[in-house]
Amino acid sequence: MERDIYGNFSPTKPKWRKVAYGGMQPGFDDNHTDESFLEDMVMNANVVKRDILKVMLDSVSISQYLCIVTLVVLVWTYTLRSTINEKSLLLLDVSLLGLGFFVLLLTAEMLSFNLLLNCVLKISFFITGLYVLSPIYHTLTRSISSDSIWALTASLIILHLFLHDYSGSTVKAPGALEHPSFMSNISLNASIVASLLIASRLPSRLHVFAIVLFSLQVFLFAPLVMYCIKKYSFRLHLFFSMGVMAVTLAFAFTLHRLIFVLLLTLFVFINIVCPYWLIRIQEYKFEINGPWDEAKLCFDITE
Amino acid sequence: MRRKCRIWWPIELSATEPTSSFFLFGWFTSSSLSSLDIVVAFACDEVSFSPNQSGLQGILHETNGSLSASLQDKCTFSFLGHCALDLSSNGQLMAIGLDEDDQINTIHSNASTGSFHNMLMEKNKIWSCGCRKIDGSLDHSSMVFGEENNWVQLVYGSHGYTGRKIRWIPKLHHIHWHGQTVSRFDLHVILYETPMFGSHHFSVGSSEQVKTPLKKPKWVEELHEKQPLLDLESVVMAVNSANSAKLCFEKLVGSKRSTVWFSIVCLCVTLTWQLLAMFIASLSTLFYIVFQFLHVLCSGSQSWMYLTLGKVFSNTIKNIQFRCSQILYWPILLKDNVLRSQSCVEFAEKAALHKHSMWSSVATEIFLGYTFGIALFFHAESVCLWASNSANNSTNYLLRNGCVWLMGVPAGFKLNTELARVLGMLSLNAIQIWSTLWFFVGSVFIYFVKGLAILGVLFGVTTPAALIMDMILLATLHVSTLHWLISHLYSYQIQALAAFSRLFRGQKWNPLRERYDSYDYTVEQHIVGSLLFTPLLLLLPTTSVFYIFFTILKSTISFTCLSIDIVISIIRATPYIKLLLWLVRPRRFPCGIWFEIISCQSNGVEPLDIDRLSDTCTPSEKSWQTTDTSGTRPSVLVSILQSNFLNIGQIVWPHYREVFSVVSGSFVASSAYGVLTGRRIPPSTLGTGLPSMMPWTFIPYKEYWRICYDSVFACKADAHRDSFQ
Repeated sequence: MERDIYGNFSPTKPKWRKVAYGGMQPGFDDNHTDESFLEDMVMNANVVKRDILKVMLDSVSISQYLCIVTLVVLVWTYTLRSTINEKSLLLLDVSLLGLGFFVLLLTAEMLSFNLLLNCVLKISFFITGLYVLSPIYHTLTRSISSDSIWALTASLIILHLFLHDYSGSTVKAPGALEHPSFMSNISLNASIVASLLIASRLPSRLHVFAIVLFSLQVFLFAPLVMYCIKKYSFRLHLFFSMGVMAVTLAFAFTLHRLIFVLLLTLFVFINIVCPYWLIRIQEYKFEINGPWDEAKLCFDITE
Repeated sequence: MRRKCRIWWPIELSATEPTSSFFLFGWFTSSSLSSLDIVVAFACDEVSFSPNQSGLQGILHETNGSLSASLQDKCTFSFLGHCALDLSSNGQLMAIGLDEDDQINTIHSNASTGSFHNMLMEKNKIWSCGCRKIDGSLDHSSMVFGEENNWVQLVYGSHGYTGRKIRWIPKLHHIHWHGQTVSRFDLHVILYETPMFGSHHFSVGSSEQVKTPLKKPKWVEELHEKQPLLDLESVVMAVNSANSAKLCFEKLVGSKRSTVWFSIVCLCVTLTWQLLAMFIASLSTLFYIVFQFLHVLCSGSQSWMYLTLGKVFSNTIKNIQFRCSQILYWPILLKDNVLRSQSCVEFAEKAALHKHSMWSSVATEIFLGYTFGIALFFHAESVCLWASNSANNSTNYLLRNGCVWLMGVPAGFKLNTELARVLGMLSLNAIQIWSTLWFFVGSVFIYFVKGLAILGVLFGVTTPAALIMDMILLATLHVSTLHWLISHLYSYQIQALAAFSRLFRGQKWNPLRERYDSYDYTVEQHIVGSLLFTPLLLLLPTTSVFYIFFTILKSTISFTCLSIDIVISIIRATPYIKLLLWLVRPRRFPCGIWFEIISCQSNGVEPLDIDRLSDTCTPSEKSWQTTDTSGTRPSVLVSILQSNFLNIGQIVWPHYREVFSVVSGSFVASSAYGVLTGRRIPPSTLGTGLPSMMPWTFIPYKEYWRICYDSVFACKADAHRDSFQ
C-alpha cells in the first residue's frame, strides 16, 4: 500500500482513494469524497417480487388460526350458557386429543415408539395435575365480578392473537432445535391465563377441568398440528382451512348475526385487502446495500 | 526572628505580695527553637528553702519520678530559676544583675551560707554578669541542672495591670537557654489556677467538641497546616501535675504542714465510715453468697426444662447475670487505685470517675428499683386488674374482631373467601386455645406482680423490666406463631411469583454467582409455571392482607419490647456519677482552653499606658530594654488561662452512642425490606443492650467481705484527701 502511495506520487495531483484507516490524504479535505464513493452501492438486492395469489394463499393460515381461536371462544360461550354439558366437553377433549395424535402420526417423518411413550406420559401427568388443581381454579375469582373477567379475557385473547407466532408453532415437534421466542411465550401465557379466568366462572369442578384441558389442548397443539399438515400437503392445508372457516362462520351465524358479519369482514380484510395492500406498497420499497454494511453470516452457526 | 517565651504562672503566687525572693520549680518545654514554655509549678521561699546541692538533686529526681510517665517522657521536673524581689527603702524595684557585687550581697544577706548557695553565687555570676562571664561556671551548674543549663530570672512587676486577685505579675529578666543568655523574648505570661483534684483541671479537648458555627476562613486552614509551635498537650499535662509536684516536693524537703486532725469529730467520722463500710460489705456479701449458690445450682443442671426456661426468659437471665457480675466486681473496681496516674489531676479525675462508675450505677438502679417495687407492691391489685382488663380487651376487640373482619371484605379488598376463611379460622382457633390457657394462669397473676415488685426491690429496676419484656413476649406467643406461619406463606408466595416472572422472561437466578443467568426452558415448564402463576397471583391479596394484619400486631409488640430494652440500656449506660458531679461542680469537666487577655503590649505599637510603665520601670530596666531590643520593645502579653466546660449532652452522649449505634439507616432499611418480603420478623431487642460482661469468678466469701470493707473504707481516705486539699 505504501508503495502504491509513493508510486502514485507524480507531478499531477494524486488520486483520492477510499481507505478506512489512512488518515488525511494530501491535497484533499478530510471529508472529501468523489464520484467513485457510491460505486459499490446495490439497490433492492433482496427484494422478492411477490405474487398476489401466493400472498393470499399464505394469509390463509392466519385466518385459519383466527378461526380456531374463535371456535374456542364459542365453546367457552356455550359452556357458560350451559349449552354444552361437562360430559360432551370431556368427549370433545378426548376426541381432539386422539385426532391430534392421529394427524401427528400420519404427517411426521420420524417418530419412534420411545418418543411417543414419553409424550403420552407427559400428557397423562399434565392431565392429572390439572385435575388436582381444578378445585383451586374453581374458586379463584369468585369475589371478582363477571364483567371484569370478561374484559380481562378479551384483552388477553387479543394480546394472544397479536403476539402469536403464525409462521411456526410454539410447541415444537419432538427433537426440534430452535427455542420459542419471548413474544410467543407471552402469547401462550396470555391464552392460558384467559382460559383459567374463564374456567373459574364455571359451575362445577369437572366443568373447570374439561374446559381448561380443552383450551390448553387447542392453544398448545393446534399450531403444531396445523404446521404438520401444512408441511405434509399444502392442498390439504387449504382444504382444511376452508372447512374450519366455514364451520366457524356457521357457528357464529347461529350465535349472533353481528359476530358473523364482523368475522366475515375480518376474513375478507385478512385474505384479500391485506395482500392487495402489500402488493401495492411493494413498489415503494427501496433498500440499499453496500460495502458499509456489517458482515452477515451465510450459514447457520449451530451446525 | 524573635523568640517567644511563655511563662505559665500559678495565680496563687500573684495573689499575695511577696515578702522575699523565691526560687521557682517547674518544667521547661520547648517544642521548637524559637519558642519556649516555662511552666512554673510552685515557688519556694529563699528563707525556708536551704538544702544542699546533692539533696536538691535527689529531691528533684524523686519528685520527677513520682509524676506520670507520659509527662516524664516529654519534660523533666527541674529547678527553674529565681524570682527576685528587692524592695529598697524608696519602694522601687532594684536592678538585679546590674551590679554584680550588690547582687551577691543581697543573696548573702537573704540566705544562709552553704554549698548550694556557693553554687548559686556562681550561678548568679552567670546571669548577673550580663552574659560576659560564661566560663567554667557552666560546668559547675550543669551538675545541678542536668544536661540543660537553663535558668530563668524573673523580677517582680505588674505589667501595668493589677486586679483584685492579681497583685503582681512577674517580669522576665533574662533566660539562660542552652548556655546562651537571652533576654529578648516575646513574653506571654499565662496565669493559671493550680488544678486541684476535686476542684478543677484543664483539658486540651478534641477539636470536634468545640463547635464552630461559622465557616472557617482560609487562614485557619493555613494555620492548621503549619507545625504547631506550642506543644499544648504536654504543657497542660504539666500544669495539671503542678499540685502533686508541689506536694511531693514539700514532703521531701520536710517542711511539714501541721495536719493533725485529731479530734473527737474525726474519731466519730471514722467510726461512722467503719460502720457504713461494714454494713455495705455485709449486704453485698449476702447478695454475693446467694448469687454464687444460684450460679452453682443453675450451671449444674442441663436438662431440657432448664434450656427451655433459659430461652423463654433469656432477657431476664442476661440481666441477672449482668447484675451478678456488677455485684462481684464493684469492690474490686472501687479498690483499684493506681497511684502513678494520680499525679496528673486530669488522669486522677478520669480514674476516679471510672472507679466510682460501677457502684454508682448499681446504687442508682437499686434505688430506682426500690421506688418502683414499693409502688408496685402497694398497688398490686389495681395493676393486676388493669393488666387483665387490657389483655381481655385486646384479645376480644383487636384479635378476634380483626380476624372476623379479615374473613369478610376488609377495606374493599376482593379476597378469596375460601382461603380467607381457612386462615381466619386457624387464627381464631389459635387465639382461643391460647386465651384459654392464660385464663388458668390469670389466677396466679397477682403473685407474679408481687414477685415483680420484690425483684425490683432486690435487684434494681432493670431486672423486672427485662422480666416484663420476657412476659410480654411469652403472653403474645400466639400472635408470634401466627405471624411466623403467615409470613412463611407470604414470603414463599412472593418468591414463587418472582421466580415465575423471571421464568417468563427467560431468566433464572444463579445463587452461586449472584446474578441472573439466561435460561432456555422447555414448553412443559412454561405451561406448568403459567398454570401455577395465575392462582398464586390471584391469591396474593388474601395472604398479604392477613400478613399485614399480623405484621402490624407483631411490630407493635416488638416495638414495645424494643422501647423497654432501650430504656434498660439507657438506665445502664447513664453515667450517674458524672451527672452528679456535673451538677455540683461543672468545672470538673473541662473541654478545651482559652486565654482571657488582660494586658497586651505589642512591639510595633507603643503601649497606651506608657507613662505609667515608665514610672514603674527602673532605670536599669529601661536601659536593658533600650540596649537589647535596639529600638523595638519585646511584646508582653498577660492572660489568664480559662477552660470551656462540657454541657450535659456532651457528657452523656458518648455513653449512649454505643446503645444507639445499632439503630442506623441501613438497619431500618434492612428491617423494612425484611418486613415487606416477609422474610424477617422485626427484632424485639437491640442486641447491644449489655455492656461487655466480665467473667464469673469465685472469691471466698470472707475475702470478698474484706475487699468490700476495704474499698468502702478507702473512699473515706479519698473524701478526706478531697477536703484536705
